[in-house]
Amino acid sequence: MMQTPIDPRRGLVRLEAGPIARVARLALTLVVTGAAAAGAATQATQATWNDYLDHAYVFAAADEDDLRGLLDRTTLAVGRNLAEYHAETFPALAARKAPMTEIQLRRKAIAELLLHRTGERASGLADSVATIDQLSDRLDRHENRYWFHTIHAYEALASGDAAAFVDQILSVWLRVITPLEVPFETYKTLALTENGNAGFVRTLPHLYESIARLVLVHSQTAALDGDIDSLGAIARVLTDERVGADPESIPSDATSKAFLDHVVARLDGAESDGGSLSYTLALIEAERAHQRARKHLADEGFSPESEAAVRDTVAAYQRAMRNANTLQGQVAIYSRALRQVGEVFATGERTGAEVNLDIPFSIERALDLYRSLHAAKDGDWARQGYVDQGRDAYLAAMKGLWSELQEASFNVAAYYMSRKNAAGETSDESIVHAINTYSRYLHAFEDFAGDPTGESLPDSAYFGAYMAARGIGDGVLFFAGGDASVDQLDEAIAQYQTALGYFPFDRALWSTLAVALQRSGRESDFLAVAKPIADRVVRSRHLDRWIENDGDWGLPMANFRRAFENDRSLVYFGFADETRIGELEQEFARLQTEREAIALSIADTRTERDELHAARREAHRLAAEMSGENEIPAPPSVTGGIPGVGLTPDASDARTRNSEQIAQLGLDLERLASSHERLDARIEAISQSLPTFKATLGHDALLGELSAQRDHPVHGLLRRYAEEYAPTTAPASAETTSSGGSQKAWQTLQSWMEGGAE
Amino acid sequence: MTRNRIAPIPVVLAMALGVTTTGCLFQGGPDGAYFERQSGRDAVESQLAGEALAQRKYSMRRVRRDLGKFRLTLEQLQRHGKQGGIDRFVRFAKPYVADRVDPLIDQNDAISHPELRPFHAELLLSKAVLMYEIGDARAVRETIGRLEREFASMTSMLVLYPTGQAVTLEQGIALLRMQTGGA
Repeated sequence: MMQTPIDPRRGLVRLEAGPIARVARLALTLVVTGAAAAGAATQATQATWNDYLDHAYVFAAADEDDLRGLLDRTTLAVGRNLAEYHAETFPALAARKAPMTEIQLRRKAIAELLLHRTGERASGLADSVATIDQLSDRLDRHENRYWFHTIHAYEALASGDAAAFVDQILSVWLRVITPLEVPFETYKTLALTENGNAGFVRTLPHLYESIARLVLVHSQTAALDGDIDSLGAIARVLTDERVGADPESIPSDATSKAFLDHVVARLDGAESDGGSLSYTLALIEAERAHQRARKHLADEGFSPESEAAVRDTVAAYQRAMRNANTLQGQVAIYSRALRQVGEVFATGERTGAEVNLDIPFSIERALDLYRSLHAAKDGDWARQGYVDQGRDAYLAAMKGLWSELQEASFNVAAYYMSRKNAAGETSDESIVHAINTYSRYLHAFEDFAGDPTGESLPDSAYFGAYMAARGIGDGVLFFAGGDASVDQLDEAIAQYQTALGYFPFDRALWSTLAVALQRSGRESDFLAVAKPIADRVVRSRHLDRWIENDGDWGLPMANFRRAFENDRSLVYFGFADETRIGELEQEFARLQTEREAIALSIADTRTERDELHAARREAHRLAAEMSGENEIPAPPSVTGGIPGVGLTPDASDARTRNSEQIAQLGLDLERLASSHERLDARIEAISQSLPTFKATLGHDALLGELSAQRDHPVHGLLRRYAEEYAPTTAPASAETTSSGGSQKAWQTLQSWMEGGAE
Repeated sequence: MTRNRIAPIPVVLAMALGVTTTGCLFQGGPDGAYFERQSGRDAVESQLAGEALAQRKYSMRRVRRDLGKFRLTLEQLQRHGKQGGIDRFVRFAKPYVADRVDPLIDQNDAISHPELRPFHAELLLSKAVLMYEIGDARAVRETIGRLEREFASMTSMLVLYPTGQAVTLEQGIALLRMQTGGA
């Protein structure tokens, strides 16, 4: 804000920094300079209101607050306020027999205009108009003409008469500015513009500035809700070496040049409304209101001030909408208004407060606008307003609208999913709202996806499809307190499949899919459901190229692809997560220990068997020696004790037991070897799949990045990936869900989870 | 140029009066002159130079740019079909051209000074295009006629067409005819 302490010693005004302050400083400097010049004539050392009013073209168009401050400071300098000056001067002059002079009438009209602008005289404007009209026969003088049309322009603003306002501004340009420009250029060439004798000609830079402010600022402050498009020509020519072009008169940073340039750039830019000034000014004003509302919402949540600011923004967008005559203009408004819808619902989610604001800019209507834009894609897109900006601008607007529509949808849905009832649960009604919001997005997406030119949708729309499908699945799982029916569960599973089809790198979603399958009694279908989705990743040419070219997140994606190649790793996606990695590793270690123990047992058993073999051989040898078997070949049937040959029954029994033990040990060894072999296979499989699965951990930040950044390069990959294959939305086949097959598959699954062999 | 012809009757009379001195014969002002008068004083070229020339160029350039902005605004109003705005703007543009543009293109030095000729031609082109947008076919025809007449020997001169293309004047006139349908 402007700080303007008066320095009584110098009679000058010091102002703090700030553009408005600089304008005011400049204004007063010029006024005081003019007053000093006038002082010679008046023999006065102190400026009077007459001097200030004669230079009012410098400051009369200042903002209301600045003008009030300026007049307050002038009051201190002059010794009485403007109202007092008016009351003390003009009635006395009017009471005289002689009519007021031209200059007195002009001063009176200007004083009344200023009193109107500062709100100090209710009848100020009407009085000013009546006074300046008395000079209608003296419009041969440029100064009179300037104030005549300017005061009538203020009158038009006050009455909301856009046509009259346009007429007055065009008249000022035609009848004041145009005739002054040639002599001004001459004076400027001869460096005479600062010469006091240059008269009203030298005011030209201030007149440019005042006209710019009237058209760009005051028309909006007065909420002029009509067609002022003809003044687009004036705005454009003001940018051409006029406003801000005379730094000796008005320092560049004290002019409205920056704002003027911004307005004209927008007028001719991609988010115009076929070059409509009325629309452009209204939209810029709405954007300002939007910024204020955004700050209030961020700082205060749903405070009364925030809600008022949102309502102001809505009203401003609606005013812009009334001025929009092309799809181009309407799309630019909806793109912004939808963002506010998203901000309001995000605030509701963040603060846990209910959204009670009515924002009449609906996602449905935005979708209608998108459909209309899309329908013009191969035809009359130029007639939708983009004739000067070209097809690229049209396509960018179409994609931009979609992006806003997508974000607003997800903010609304997230808000509803966050709503809790008295019991602290998400109500079914809220869930239905959320599901409907996601569904609307997904259906619209499916209507427009698949355009091989990539012109219809932004790349991020494909990630949006993943989010919507996942959101629907989550909603269904939460429905009825988490007690969803089989049909609902099937729907959730199908949505999760769709979601993973668009974005397979969400590890948590694989687990959620497995949970949904479990709740549906179809755990055993996991591999059958997951594998087609995983296979798309494995076979994707676009992904392969992305990884080879070291694209963003290429390494984690390569890890995912490697994990998807392996059925066991894929199962881990469904039934393991980071919290279970420790258990899996413990299990892996246990299996290794078990294998070592078995190996040891095998060794011990072999030793024992070998020893028994050796003992039995020794027993046979002794028996042979004692029976002379070594000298006479033993009959083939000698198995039992034969009296007279020394082979006792005890020895024979011992050898029999020995043989049985050896046989048993052989069986044990066979069993142990088999176990060892199975363990080997399991350990080998786990040693391959577990690290592969572990390599996919810790990359969840990608989700956050893609949610937050519309232009993330991975969005482009996801679009191409999705277009490479149609998303897998079909539920698992009947074959995989049949009871016999599912039982076997489930056992396999269990075995894998516990480290069983494939 | 005034041609002072010698009337035969005074000659006969003079001969009859015995006036023999030719000096006396050609004294007595223009009416009595023998030579065709070619006033060097009138033919002294008064070309602009220095600051005045620079200022004129600046004015002509800026007015040409202004006309371009007016044309764009009018074109946009027409695309929107905002008849009220069009009428209002035409009421402004016509007197603007008369007050600001015509004085510049009616000055002799604009056509005679070689450095001002392109600006002069460009202003005529811009005026013609604006008049076409306004719907003043007569003004368009007149302006095209002026271009063809005043620049007949300079059609290879390089000029900026109102749309910003650099073309020869001949091409510019052809473009203008094409754009305005010959008006």
